[in-house]
Amino acid sequence: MSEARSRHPTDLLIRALVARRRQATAAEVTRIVERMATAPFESRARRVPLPERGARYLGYILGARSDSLTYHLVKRVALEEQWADGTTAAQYLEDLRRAIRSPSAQLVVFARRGGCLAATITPLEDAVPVERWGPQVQPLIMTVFSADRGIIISGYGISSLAEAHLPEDAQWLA
Amino acid sequence: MARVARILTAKERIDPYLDYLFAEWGAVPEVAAEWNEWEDHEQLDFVVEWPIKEDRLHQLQQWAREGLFTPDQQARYERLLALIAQHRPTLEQLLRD
Repeated sequence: MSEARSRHPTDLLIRALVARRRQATAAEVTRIVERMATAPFESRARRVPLPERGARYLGYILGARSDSLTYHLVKRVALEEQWADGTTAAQYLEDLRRAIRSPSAQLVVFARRGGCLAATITPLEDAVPVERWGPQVQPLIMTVFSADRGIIISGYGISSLAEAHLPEDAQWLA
Repeated sequence: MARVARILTAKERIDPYLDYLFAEWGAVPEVAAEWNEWEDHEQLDFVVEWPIKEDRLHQLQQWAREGLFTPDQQARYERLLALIAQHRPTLEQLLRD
């Protein structure tokens, strides 16, 4: 990890749950969900792989680098058609936050690439308003939160729980 | 009243899924060539988002078993499987923790 890790108490809690493989209490689950749902999206610019450069959406044109939220929006709407044409970055993020907060969301924590992540998996209809379903929408919405940096790093649709491809030692909290 | 997009059926998703997977798998060598220059957050994002590609591949495999492909789609699908077989070892290295 090349930069200072988050010292937010809930991020520390998630990291402790992963490290000690301890089950969370109901109150801790509530804290984690609230932390994830109020976290900002990754703000750093990122490189755009060559085949995706030139993709256009809502006035954005992906170049060699893009801010992360715009990159994910263009992928979700223009390249994958998971969200409907016209969906804005604010609406995409709003849907991810709704997915995280949904009572039907399943919460899981796990380690990946030396870092700690928390994720929710939520039925589509509880996360995304029907007018924002794209032509290739998927039945579940997965959101991914970095407990190292205290940010949402991704959100996308999957066809089943198995397609989340979680590590075998992932811990389901709710 | 908000306009609602028409949700594609399985048969209608075959061509866009093939297009998408050819682009994503075709980019693997370029990603691998640059991988060591990628920052941590870029690598993590690639790893976290890769399940989208496997998911679409699994859906195509299911539809292949169900016989939903046209002959042209079957031929493209077989070319895709060959491309995946070629790049899978490289991809596995990128995904490794």
